[in-house]
Amino acid sequence: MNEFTKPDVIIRIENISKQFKANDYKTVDHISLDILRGESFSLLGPSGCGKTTLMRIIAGFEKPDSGRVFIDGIDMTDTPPYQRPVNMMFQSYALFPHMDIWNNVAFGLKQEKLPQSEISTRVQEALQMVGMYDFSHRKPWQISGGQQQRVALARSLIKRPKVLLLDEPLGALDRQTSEKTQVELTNIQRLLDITFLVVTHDQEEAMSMSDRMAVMKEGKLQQIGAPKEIYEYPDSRFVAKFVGSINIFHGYVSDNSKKNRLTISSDEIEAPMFVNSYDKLNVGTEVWVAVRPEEMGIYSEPDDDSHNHAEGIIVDIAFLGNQIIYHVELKSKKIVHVSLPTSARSKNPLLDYGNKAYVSWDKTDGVLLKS
Amino acid sequence: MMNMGIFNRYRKIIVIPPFLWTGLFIIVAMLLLIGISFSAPEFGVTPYKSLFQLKDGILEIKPDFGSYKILFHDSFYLKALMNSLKLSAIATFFTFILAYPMAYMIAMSKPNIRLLLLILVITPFWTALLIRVYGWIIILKNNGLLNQFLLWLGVIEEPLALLNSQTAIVIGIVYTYLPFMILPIYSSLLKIKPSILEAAADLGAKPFSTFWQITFPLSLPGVIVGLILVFIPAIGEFVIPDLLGGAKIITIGKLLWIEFFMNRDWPMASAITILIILIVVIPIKMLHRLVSSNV
Repeated sequence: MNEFTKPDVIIRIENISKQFKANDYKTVDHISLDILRGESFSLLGPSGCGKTTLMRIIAGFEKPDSGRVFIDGIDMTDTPPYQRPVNMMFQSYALFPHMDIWNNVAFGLKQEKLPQSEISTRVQEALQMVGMYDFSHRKPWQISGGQQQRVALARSLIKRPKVLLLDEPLGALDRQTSEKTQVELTNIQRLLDITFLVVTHDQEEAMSMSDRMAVMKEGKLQQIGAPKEIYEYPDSRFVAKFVGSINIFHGYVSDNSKKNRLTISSDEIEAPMFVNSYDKLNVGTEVWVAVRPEEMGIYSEPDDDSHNHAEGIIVDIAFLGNQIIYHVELKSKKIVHVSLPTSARSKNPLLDYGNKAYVSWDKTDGVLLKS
Repeated sequence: MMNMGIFNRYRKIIVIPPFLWTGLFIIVAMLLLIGISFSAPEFGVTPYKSLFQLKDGILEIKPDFGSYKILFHDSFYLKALMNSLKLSAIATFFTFILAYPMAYMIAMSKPNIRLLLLILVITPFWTALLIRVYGWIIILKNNGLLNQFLLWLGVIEEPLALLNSQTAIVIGIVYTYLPFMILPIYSSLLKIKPSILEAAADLGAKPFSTFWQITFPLSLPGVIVGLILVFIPAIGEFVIPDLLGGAKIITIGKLLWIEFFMNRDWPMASAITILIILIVVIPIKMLHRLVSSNV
């Protein structure tokens, strides 16, 4: 999509709300959202945030209390699931236990009463695409979890849905299989040029699989954007913390006289913080400054080149293979996390447990949060 | 893992009593039954000659095939057996037809209503079988409730002869055994994950097709258990045919009773029992194999 083409909306959600009888809060609270044709879109949020309910409303399994669902321009709010041009890959895969793999995949086409020869060709294609053709005559319980997922994928793609809904697609897989599957899913999405709507609580999964994502909390959308955008410019503490790890300093605006820059004073850090902002906030406004661990530097001596400094003691070093996380306790007892690529560690032997360390970051690296 | 070992050891101890129970009351009883069926009838306190006889210090086993000979040559017995099988099959069929929708409705209702409905299904069991079956006499007899109601409606002009008929027996069996069909079907319906039904709908199956392609096949294990639980005891049923079927309809259960208590022919009664067991167990074993290979 470029600026000359109009956004081509495949799913439009208009002001959808849903409250379950047992609850005193809305599981989905006035959500409006456009999902574009051909994109891979993720709904990300902690459990209970309403992402699954929203997906089930799109699939037709739940009826919203208010609002409309449009699929490819047609109002389908009252259309039963079996008449909607979307298919779902269930979290538990939901394969039919009494049917073999072949008949599981063929099920969708059989409902359309297509000629047997066409069903055969398409089932074979789908099974070959996911590499499960050799297992056609096995029953679901005779294959592994990863294989079941491939079958579930083939089954949900066989009807060539306008949108494929994926409920926690990698949730039940071990790490290796999950990484492999993630790549395969992305490839299939591009190959078939199909719209993906992924529901997940895993931010890595959401970021690596989607073109755009929406972060949800308590039934409401918090932020929508490309993964990189959301990661680098979260607009609330919730999003900042939920998407990746981050250091957050609480403070107040102490100076707004410079153009596009604010000075923040904080109880958690001695020196005033400088942060870029196009928003000229009043002095005394409560704000938070968020800095990613990888955007911070850690030194054994003061670093005068950066705008923001803090002094502390290294209280823990976590080795994660490709990176090292330093836990630095500032004088205010605030713990700051700084991550370095593993290769950089050997350069400074003074950065060790119990030693004094200086953390610093540039004014362009901190993000100003108002909530 | 240590705990598991202890757990397994205790488990072995725990299963000893049921094994003893089964051993004593089923296997020993079966052996006795087989033994008696191969003995000759006799007038006496134990109305049969012992199979084992000591002759000059040697143990002799003298099987007597008399009872089996009569059983297979006098068509009276086989006819009664066939009649029982037929009645039981018809009754099992109608029990199933009634039980499935009920089980389905219970399984699909909300948990709190579900419990209430289950209690309602089981409630009749709190009254003795004899009294419940006797109740049907009051309903079915010529000037009974059902006939009076139909006469009042004007559907019939003369009372129907409902009591003392095969129909009455079938009604009695269906009524009595309904819970045995409902409960296993209900439990297998309950095991079907909602997501599986949603997946079927998602793939374009209308509710009716989802039922026949997914729900019904997945409930088959429960259906088969239900069929067995009704069909088998219904074959040997005595109280229901005796009270509702009248004197003319002879079933194998009634025959068994007559042979045992009236004629005091224990070997004959035992031979009939063995025949029933053989006729019933073999098809069940086959059904069982069919089901376990399928699901």
